Amino acid sequence: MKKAVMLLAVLALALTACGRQEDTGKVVYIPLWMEPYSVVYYDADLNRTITEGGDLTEEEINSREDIRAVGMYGDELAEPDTKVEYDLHGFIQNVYYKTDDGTGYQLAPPDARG
Amino acid sequence: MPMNTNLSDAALRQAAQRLAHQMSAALPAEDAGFSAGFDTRMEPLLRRERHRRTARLIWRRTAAALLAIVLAFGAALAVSPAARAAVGRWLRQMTTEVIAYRFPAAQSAGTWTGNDPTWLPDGYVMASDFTGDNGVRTVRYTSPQGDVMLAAVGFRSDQDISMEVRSHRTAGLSDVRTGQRPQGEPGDPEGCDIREVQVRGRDARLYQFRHLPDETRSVSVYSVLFYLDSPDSDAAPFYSVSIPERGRLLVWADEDAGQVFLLFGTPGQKELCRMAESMYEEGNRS
Repeated sequence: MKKAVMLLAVLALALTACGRQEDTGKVVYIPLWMEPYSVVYYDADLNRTITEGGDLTEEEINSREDIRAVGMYGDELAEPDTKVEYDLHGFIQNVYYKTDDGTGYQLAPPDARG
Repeated sequence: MPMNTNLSDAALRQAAQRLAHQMSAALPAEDAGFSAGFDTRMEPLLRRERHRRTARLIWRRTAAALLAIVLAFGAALAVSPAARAAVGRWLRQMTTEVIAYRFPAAQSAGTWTGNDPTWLPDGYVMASDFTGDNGVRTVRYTSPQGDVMLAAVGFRSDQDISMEVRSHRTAGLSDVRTGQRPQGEPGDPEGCDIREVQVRGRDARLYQFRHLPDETRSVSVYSVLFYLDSPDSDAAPFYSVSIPERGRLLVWADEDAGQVFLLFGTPGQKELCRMAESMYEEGNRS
């Protein structure tokens, strides 16, 4: 009986190892440019909510020299529970992190807090 | 009284033939052959000579064929940028701090204008297609599971390009006086698992990034940085992307297209490779 239980346990472990999916994190890139004064929130699962402003269209992006010089995606990664603000040109200005009590946002990331 | 004898040409020719025949008959008989012992001793010598002749013939023909190939290849190289690019050799070097690629100056293909992948993982749609002033084309695909980015960086005709993969520990650091970036020690880089894969017969590498123990950061971030290798060039990268821990990066050089391709994001090896392969499917090649 004991042997049978051990055998089943080993079999279960082996099946779990074989059938395990590849570890998939989540990668979300922040646009470096949006409409002027846009405000975007990223929740704990990196889902995105735009509360002010909006995304630029492909035509707007491709017609602007300042965007072509700097780039659009790839440099900035979204982080959980953050708020991103854009300046008067629509360029990314600040990333704010949720406070420890969850009531607001602050510039210091959780790693930098005492 | 003198005798007057007239000899005709025909009689003289006949007499000469008779004399030749008599002289030939007077010669000693030819030997019937060599002795068996002599034949045995000579056989290896004769065989060696026969082999030598055959080898000489084969060598001459091979040399002629090689010469023809070299001349034809040289002619192709002289007129075809694509052929020149095909023999261009890029280098890769790994240390504890950096995975460095170097792409020698080659016939510039400019901005990549080829087609996008025809196959995307479930739920992904193309969200943007952007080409910057640096000539790098970046295509972003998005889904509820996250983003995948495809970046194509063209070879330069006048300058070598360096690509470096670094963790946040050394990304962006350089010596103030010399501009030298941290090189690390010989060895495997920390924080990533590497798999050798293929994209339509081209050598490719898949990097999967792990968490690096670091007191100052809870999440490790890796950077892929492209530099122009020239004394006149700015020390800053002309293109860079960030990839967080648990992210994956597929890198391959397509010397026919004159591009380095990066495919990075959330999906696994199978999905990224299939996506990359679909760029080369029939009817999807510019």
